[in-house]
Amino acid sequence: MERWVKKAQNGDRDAFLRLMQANELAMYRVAKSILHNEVDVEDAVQEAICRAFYKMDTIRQPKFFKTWMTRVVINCCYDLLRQQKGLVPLELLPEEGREDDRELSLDVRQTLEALGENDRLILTLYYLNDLPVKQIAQLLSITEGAAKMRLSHGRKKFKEIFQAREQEAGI
Amino acid sequence: MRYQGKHSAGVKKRRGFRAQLAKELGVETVPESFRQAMEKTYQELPLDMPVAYRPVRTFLRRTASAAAACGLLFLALLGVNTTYPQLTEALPGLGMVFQAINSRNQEPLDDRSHLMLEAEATPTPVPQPAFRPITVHPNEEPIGDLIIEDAWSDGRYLWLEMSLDLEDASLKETLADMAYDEASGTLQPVFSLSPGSPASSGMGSGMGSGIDDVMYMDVVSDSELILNGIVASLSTSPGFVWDEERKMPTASFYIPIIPAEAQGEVDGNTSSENAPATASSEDLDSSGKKGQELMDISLTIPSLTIVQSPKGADGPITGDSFQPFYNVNFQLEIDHVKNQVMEPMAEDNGVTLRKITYTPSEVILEADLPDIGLGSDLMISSSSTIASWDTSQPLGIYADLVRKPPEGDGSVESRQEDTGTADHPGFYRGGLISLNDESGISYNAEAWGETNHLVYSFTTLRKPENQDSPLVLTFYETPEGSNFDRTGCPDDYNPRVLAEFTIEPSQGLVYTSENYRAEYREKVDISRESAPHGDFENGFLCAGVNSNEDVFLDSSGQLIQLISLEDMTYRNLGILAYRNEETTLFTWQVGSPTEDESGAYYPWEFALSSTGQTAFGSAIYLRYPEEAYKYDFPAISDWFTRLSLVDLDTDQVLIPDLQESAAQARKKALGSWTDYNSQNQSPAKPSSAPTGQPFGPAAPPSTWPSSAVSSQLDDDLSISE
Repeated sequence: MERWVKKAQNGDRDAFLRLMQANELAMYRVAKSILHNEVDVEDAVQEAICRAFYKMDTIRQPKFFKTWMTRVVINCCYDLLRQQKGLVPLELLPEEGREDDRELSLDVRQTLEALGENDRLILTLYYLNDLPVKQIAQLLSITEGAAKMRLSHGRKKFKEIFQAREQEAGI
Repeated sequence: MRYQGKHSAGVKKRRGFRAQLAKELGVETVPESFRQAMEKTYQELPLDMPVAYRPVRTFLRRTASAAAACGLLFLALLGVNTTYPQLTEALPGLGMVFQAINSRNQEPLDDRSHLMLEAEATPTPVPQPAFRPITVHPNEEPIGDLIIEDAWSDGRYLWLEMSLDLEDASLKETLADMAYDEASGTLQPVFSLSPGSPASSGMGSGMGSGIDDVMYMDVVSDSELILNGIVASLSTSPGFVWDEERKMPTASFYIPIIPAEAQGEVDGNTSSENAPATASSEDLDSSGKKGQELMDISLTIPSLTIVQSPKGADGPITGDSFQPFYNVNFQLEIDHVKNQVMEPMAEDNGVTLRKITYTPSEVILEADLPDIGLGSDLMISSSSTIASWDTSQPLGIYADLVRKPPEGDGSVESRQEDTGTADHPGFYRGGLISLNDESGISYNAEAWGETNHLVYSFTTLRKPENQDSPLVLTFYETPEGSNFDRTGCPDDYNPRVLAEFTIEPSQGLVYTSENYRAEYREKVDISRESAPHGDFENGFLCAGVNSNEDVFLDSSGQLIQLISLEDMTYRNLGILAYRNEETTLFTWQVGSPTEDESGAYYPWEFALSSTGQTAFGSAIYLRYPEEAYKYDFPAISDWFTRLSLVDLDTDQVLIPDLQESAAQARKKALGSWTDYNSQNQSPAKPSSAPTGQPFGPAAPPSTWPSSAVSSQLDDDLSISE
């Protein structure tokens, strides 16, 4: 991936596209953990790709591309939320595009939403996007200790939700 | 270079959890709509990617090209000059240069001009350069060069970093192959520094090898390191490990330096407790600094021995030695510049920081601490905690010291990514070394007073980095508090902080700080009358329910610890255990300690430090049915869904759910999360108590299979039918 980054920084468009395609799932996951609906996720990631296209040369160390890109996506998501704030309360936005929703009761769905943006994001960054704790702490501008505690807390919350879902399924 | 694999600090990436998380969050794959949207975006991007114009880089590149071309031309002209000096001397511009070259070659300078040249050449002081690597050739077996990559010392510790530039490619391949242990997921040492009989001891050293099965050479090493004439043994060093990036074995040593007046041998990687006399203010002059000195270093490595045999490969086997006989003597300039003594008298929450004797590798702190009670005042079982500390110790004496990364540090790479262990680059290990001016003895409760003078010693584990960055010193109420002492993050409690200071040696500043707030920690209220503890229910508090306390060493049950402020020794109590629709009643003979195959019971007493009141404890070990621990049941703690404490005389349920009670007690005693986003607060836990079921003997409890019960009953600890 470092090679692609360097090539992209030297103007190789194909290398840039390969980087984006290779990181599509990671970007999707980050955006999904912050935003509530698919349209917003698409908008935020599209914006992030455009920003990355024009800012590739600002990456000083190509090996940190993934972290840099994650930061760009997070910023785009927060920018989108800021634009939307005051228009529609986030809590009222429906979850879209999740096939599992049909199987979940309203209570469990609400609980998933109640997991919280902080917990969703940090669990996504660590478990799904494989970022180490120190990088996560840097991304979220928190201490490593706080990042670990949020991970622990998020994991515990997720476990509770999962067990609640299992109980519901068993009823 | 790391010995330790991913010993995660309680945050493990389980494959099943990842899959489940992805599923629950709906992010297993990208939706088709998203993929199509991205494709559209890619197509709409401009065909030309912008490339930053870097004028400086472009200028430098062009200048370098021009310089290279000129250099080549000059070399060519030098060749011409030897044959046709008249031609080169006639060149415009360059002719004078060749004239000077040619005239210098003809006649020697007269004495006076030689002297003038010497006088003009007197060097001006230049800054001390970074350590220049030293290449050491083998004196005997030519396996390759030893390279001293780095050496550093602040007068307290010496850091040496070395590598082996092996010549034999097949040997390198063999070492690379054997270096990684798939079973433990760790890098193993490849060369030890001595021959001798193999040993099977693991390391468990401060270098954090985490290796249990590797064969080590534990006899006295004939490798030798001598610092200013004093021998420092390398026998406990793990030796060379394979550096996958550089494709060579590398080793590092971090050794305390014995003052000149001290004699004897010091082991490498020795803990601070075993280190020689620590730096005191007498080692530093009145300004807190000393001039730089030179340290004489002599290193001899006669042989290198293969540590572990490769997996099923041809080549060297365990115990094979190479005899290169490396020997090098050099001097190292000791960097005293940052060493200093500070007497800040900074105060935070009753803690006064009186004196700091600072070197980058070692920090000695003297502080006065208030009396905020003893660990036993919290009335929890230390087995319920991660640190499992001795609760007879005072509260608030647990400190750690961490160097902050530099401001604006763009690097996000961590060599110890998620371990949270003491190998963190900024972590100082160590802690309390003396109390109330009685140095060298362990702490004891009797010496604890209203104000207590404590001395702490902290040392780094390797060459300290970012030496200009500030240090954060945190005093925790309990040993749970330090991030780097715990093996896992707590799920339901967040240890409190007694005090926090930031120390900036580069500025000579010490001040109070609140970095702990970012970790949602509470600060201890030192005005409290007594240490916080769980709530008493009907006169009883459950201090802990633990399956890791194993009386019979066969993981056959759980230990329940109860506390009461009244003597409960002679109360007729029982523990009612629920499993699905069945209940089982555990009882014990009151009064005296008992232990048999059915279980165990131990009473104890202790005094609450704030009031002097006596508290009474009961530890009851319940031996569970065989099915609970012999037949792959997931967790013995889950065998019974609920445990209740009951009064057998009155049928009163004293504590309905002992496990829940213990969890609440732990949370209250050790501290909660503060200011956390209300969005992230835990939902109310659904009640686990079955409804409509009577408690106590009124509902006849079920029994275990008779084979597990009948022949094992004992009068002292019985299972009622």
